[in-house]
Amino acid sequence: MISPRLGSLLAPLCVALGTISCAEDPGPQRLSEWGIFADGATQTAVEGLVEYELRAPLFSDYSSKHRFIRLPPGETITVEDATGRLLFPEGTLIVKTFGFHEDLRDPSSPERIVETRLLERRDGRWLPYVYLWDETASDATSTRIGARVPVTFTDLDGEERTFSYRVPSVTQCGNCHGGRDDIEILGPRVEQLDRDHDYGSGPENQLEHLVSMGWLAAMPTGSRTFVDPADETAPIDARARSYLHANCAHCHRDGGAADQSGLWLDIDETGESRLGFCKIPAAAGRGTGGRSVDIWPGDPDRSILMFRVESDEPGIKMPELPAVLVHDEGVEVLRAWIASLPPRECAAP
Amino acid sequence: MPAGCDRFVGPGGDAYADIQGMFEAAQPGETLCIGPGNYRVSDGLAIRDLDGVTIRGTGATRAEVVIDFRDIDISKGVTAMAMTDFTFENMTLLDAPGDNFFIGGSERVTIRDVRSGWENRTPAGRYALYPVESTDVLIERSEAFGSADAGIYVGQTTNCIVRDSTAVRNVAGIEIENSINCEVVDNIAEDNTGGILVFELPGLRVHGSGTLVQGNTVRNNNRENFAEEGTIVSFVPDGTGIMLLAANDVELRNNTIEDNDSTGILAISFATAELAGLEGGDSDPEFDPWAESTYVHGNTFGNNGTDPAPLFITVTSPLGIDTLEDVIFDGFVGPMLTPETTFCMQGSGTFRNADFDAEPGMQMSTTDLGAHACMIPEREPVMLPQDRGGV
Ligand code: HEC
Ligand code: HEC
Repeated sequence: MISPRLGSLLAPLCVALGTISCAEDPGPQRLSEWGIFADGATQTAVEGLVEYELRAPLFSDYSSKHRFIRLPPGETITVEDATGRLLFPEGTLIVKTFGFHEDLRDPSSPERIVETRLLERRDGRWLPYVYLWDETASDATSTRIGARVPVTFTDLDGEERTFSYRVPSVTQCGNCHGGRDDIEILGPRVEQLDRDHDYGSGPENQLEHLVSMGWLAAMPTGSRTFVDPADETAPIDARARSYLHANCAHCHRDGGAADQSGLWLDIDETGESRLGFCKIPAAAGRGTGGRSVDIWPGDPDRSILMFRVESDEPGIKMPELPAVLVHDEGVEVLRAWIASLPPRECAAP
Repeated sequence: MPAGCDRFVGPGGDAYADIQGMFEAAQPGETLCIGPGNYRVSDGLAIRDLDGVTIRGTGATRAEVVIDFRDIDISKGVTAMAMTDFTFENMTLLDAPGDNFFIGGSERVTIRDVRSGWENRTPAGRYALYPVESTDVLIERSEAFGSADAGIYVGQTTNCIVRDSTAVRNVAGIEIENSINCEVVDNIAEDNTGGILVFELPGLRVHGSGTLVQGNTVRNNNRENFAEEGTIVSFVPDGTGIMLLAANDVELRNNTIEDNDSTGILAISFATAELAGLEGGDSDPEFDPWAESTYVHGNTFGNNGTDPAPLFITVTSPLGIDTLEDVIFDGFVGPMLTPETTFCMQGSGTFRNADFDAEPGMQMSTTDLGAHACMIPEREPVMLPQDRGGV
């Protein structure tokens, strides 16, 4: 691990060379220096890291994800009552790996591990890191400017897809995790973690598991508004709102990168205009597709929101990041939801 | 490394990797320099949460350092978020799919000697220079061209100055939207669909007021509107010099406004825009659709309104009117307002109180100022902490 001191010794050298890519303290150059994984290729973590999943995860260009938490010994997690967010102690490390299964229809098909992102709680802030794995997933190298990686997989319809996957730069982490403010944790909140995960001895509720480990003092209560958007037995409203929260609200919220659009898609948002009902766009440019309002209740094809999530064209596509593929299954949920809303005339009288 | 630079990138390498690498390494207070050359980057650039950083092209002019975004597959060319005391100067930015230069949630931002627009992309992108939700923004000696929305757009910002700049061949040349205490001074807005816009829109968190538009040359803004249907600016009629929409506390003084085929100044409330098909005014309960306190005085007009856009002609032709005046006011006086607190005009310029609402259109219209020959106290100049004054 490059110490902060060594980092600051390197900095003048970077300046003297008149070149780039030496941050003051870029952190460990190799992911292995963090001592997280016993085996990168299978994403087997060392003892002390706890894997977790979310009810409503972020869609990232059809990648698979592996998420882990490591707490410093003896420390615990607290819950912010008002929001259900988990508050982590100094020294916490949260790990998120992205990979691609060869065949999305078969979760046991070989998985190519591409990148691992870290958030480390240090000096009261979250510090971001990103690592690009080598071909054999033996180790990963820091890439603070991000990277583009050609990826091929077979999609849920059996079609082969090839595209240029974007590993974000460290600055881009802040676009979703920060907006105007310090980097924040986005996934772990009570309702999102309230689901089963197999820790090796069959499915177990994740929150109960954390309690049994002593990481949580007691079983928290939450409003349970989150559902898995793919769960066809759940009400369409809950599926769509969970989807919008997980995929859009990190930008479309108070202080997020799309705050200025006035379209706020947080699960707790109740204002109809903020949610886009009959709302004219602020600055959508070509992103309107010639439509006049973000959501026309009852009519997906008159809704700018649908036009944007169905597009893969930069400048139109939503989400703006990850910026490559359209999420066909997510689009279907949003379409069904808007169609199910009680029809209303948006036009002025 | 050139004098005054803490880090430096020159041409010839991987332009994205070199410049983004410099941004990732940047420390507070540093000056990040880009040497003369053409940088055809492969991805969008981003910088975030740094204090006191200057990004500078080190060429003799802004034309010598060109960042070309034609190859990127992400909306924005440069994204700068959560910056404080941030300066960006002496560069040319071209051809991003969405916006060339976006600045969000930042304080004390100076954009100086930047030329930004679209040369090699059809359809063109949206905003050339695009600060939003920021405080104390200064844009000076810059140029925006070819935008399919607004060239220089300041949105939801408190305290801004757009000065000594040029906006050409955009749909909207310069647009101030839902912003508080702004100044548009000594600019040239030419060959746009609408030269200078001050708009107040529903559904946004900031409610704007207070814009001084002074000393600008607003000429020949007759470009056919090429904005995407559904956008706000797609409603701007071709041939509009200055347009105010539901704006509050706007003073237009000492401008030279000429050769705009529809009209020199169009001042309307949101209700009139709704007559033209704009929607959503009633979706936001906090939105005030009425224009309040517009003061037009001391301007020089010439040759405006000679060939008004079809939107006007449909309402004027039943009255046998085929040319329009220098200044068109829609006559809407909001509840709690009086004619004198809504719109005042002094000095030269022909005027029409258009009364678009009447059937058939403009039937009650009059060229008599009547109660609108009033005065409103002049606005104080905008003071920005980083401003050393105009040239
Ligand atoms: C497109 C928006 C986006 C970008 C860009 C992004 N993230 Fe995230 N990230 C999320 C969301 C949303 C979650 C939570 C949902 C999930 O895990 O599926 C998340 C989760 C995480 C987690 C797990 C902890 C948490 O906050 O839930 C880590 C660690 C993480 N991201 C690190 C990073 C790093 C480091 C970067 C930059 C290299 C980055 N992320 C870039 C959206 C983003
Ligand atoms: C990485 C940040 C980011 C994410 C994630 C994101 N957006 Fe956006 N969105 C923006 C920005 C910035 C704007 C404003 C500029 C524009 O319209 O392109 C915007 C604007 C919009 C607009 C136009 C809103 C208006 O009223 O002007 C819609 C509709 C939209 N987004 C839908 C979505 C949906 C649906 C999702 C999730 C599926 C999403 N966005 C995810 C950044 C994001």
